[in-house]
Amino acid sequence: MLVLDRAPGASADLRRLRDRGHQVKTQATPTVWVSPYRRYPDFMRRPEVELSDAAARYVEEHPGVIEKLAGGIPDGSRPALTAEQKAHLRNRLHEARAYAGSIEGRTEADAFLVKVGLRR
Amino acid sequence: MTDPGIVVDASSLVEYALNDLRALPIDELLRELREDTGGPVLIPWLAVDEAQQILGDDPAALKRLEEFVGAHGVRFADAEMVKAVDLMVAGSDLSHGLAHAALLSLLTGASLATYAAPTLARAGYGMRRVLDLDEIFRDE
Repeated sequence: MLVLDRAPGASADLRRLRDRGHQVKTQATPTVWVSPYRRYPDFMRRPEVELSDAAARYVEEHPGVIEKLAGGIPDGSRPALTAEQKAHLRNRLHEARAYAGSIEGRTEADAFLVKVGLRR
Repeated sequence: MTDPGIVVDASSLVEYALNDLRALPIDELLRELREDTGGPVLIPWLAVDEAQQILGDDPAALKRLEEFVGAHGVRFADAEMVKAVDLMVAGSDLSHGLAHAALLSLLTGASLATYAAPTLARAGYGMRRVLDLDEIFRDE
């Protein structure tokens, strides 16, 4: 018998079935991880957390961000990335693009593609 | 030189579709491509499939995902690609969508934008072409 451990209370059901002598197998962990808070929104409660300094700073600079995240973000009041964050992202994009186009990057890509049979 | 653009995996698609704080880096990349380089957004079909499964109970997010995919199109996986994806997945804890995205990035030279960078690093994938979207939210 195959029982999928996918819903609140499923573990208790599995124990009950095992107690009755059934052979129970659980499905392997899926390759895509989904936060239990997202998977079981009515079942899971987020623990109290202490924010790191950087996160606390961000919340201070963007009042209402927690509230917006909890209830979705109404149009017109979206938080935005800081200029620093945008510059960091842009730099990383340029670096990654330059690497992919470099001899080193192309050689690395070719070697990997040969390994998985996409290039001879 | 033509910009090869970016490839997105399921983690990026999900965050974009949920449209919360973690969608902001993706919005910024899209803006950069649109206004600066004109590079394409490559969406692997196997990643779309995973994103749809994750967003299964959120119609608003699914609609946003559908519109995104409609705007940029998807890259399907032929038999050879599926074989290569299976090979990558078998030897690591990568999902099919992430492996498909990683291979598309190598084939096209596009940068891979993902929230699953640590998984790629553990799989031994070359990280210099990866845009770790989580990076800007981490402590310096």
